[in-house]
Amino acid sequence: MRHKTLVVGSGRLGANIAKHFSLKGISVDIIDISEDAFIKVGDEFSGNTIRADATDMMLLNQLDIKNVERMVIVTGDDNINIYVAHLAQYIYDIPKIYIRLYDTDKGKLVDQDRIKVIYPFILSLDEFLDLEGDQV
Amino acid sequence: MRIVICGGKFEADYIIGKFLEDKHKVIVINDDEQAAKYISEHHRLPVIVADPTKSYTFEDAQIQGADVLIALSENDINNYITCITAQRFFGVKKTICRVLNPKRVEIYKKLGIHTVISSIYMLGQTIKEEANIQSIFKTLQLTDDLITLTEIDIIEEFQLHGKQIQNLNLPPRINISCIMRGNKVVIPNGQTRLQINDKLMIISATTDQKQIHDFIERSRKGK
Repeated sequence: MRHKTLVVGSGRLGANIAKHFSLKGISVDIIDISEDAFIKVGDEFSGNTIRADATDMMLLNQLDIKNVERMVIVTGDDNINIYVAHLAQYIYDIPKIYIRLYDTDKGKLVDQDRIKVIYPFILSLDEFLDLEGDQV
Repeated sequence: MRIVICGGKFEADYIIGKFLEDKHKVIVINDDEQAAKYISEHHRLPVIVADPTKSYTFEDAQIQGADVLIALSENDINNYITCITAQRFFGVKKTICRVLNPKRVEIYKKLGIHTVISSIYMLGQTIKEEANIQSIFKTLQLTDDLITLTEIDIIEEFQLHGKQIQNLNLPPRINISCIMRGNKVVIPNGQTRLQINDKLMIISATTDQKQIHDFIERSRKGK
């Protein structure tokens, strides 16, 4: 039974998503290449913090990946996010995959029927236009 | 052919030289300004200084329909994105992706990259093949190393089984002294047929041993 959540990249977004699921009682692993990044997850977080390179398949193989239901891929590098999303979809067939991309143009590299993409650029632009009261 | 070379410095420089010699049209993209300058000066060739993982770089460089794209940067992930973008959106017929981490060779192929090369992976393959050949030959030097006894296992791959010794085209001065077949010793003549799992004992001058190796190598390729 797939029940785990795997967060890749412990930046502000990744750390807070991990904390959110952890507080809801869902089993969460968070991966980052830098140990310091885990400071952001805080004390309430009860999941595993794993210092490792998420693009390394050996690591993913060790992570009980068969039980992962949801993967949230939010490192600061679009290319890494896309590669890890491809691994998640084509190699591990993870049911729910979320990915953040700064470059909207790169969205076409992922299968958007399967992978949900978050674009900070679009969210910010929408918010700006909203604040400005612009009727588009 | 139209060939696109992305990233890399000395590797790119060398490969570009080879392609230019053969009169191919070469498009060079490099996001490192120093490497770009080096290549451009060396080959008197325009180099596009841009990030090859971005689609607009390929649009500017007009790589649509190119025959080959080679991604040579030292970042495996960026090379992957470069190749995928070129294949899917620019109709590049063949992509070649260089990786530093040999474990990525199989994965990248699974993910659809046409060709993946890793120098360490190739070294590993060569060592494996060499080791295989070595384990098939056992040798013993006799009489001050002037005479050598070579033992060869006839494995299927050698394509020598089923043949009569007179038809093997053994090199000059090389004769099979005896054959171990199971636990029987066979003293062969020209009509003896080799079988899989035979062990051949060949006594030769040590200076001729290389001929035996070469003979086996040739038979292995089915020549």
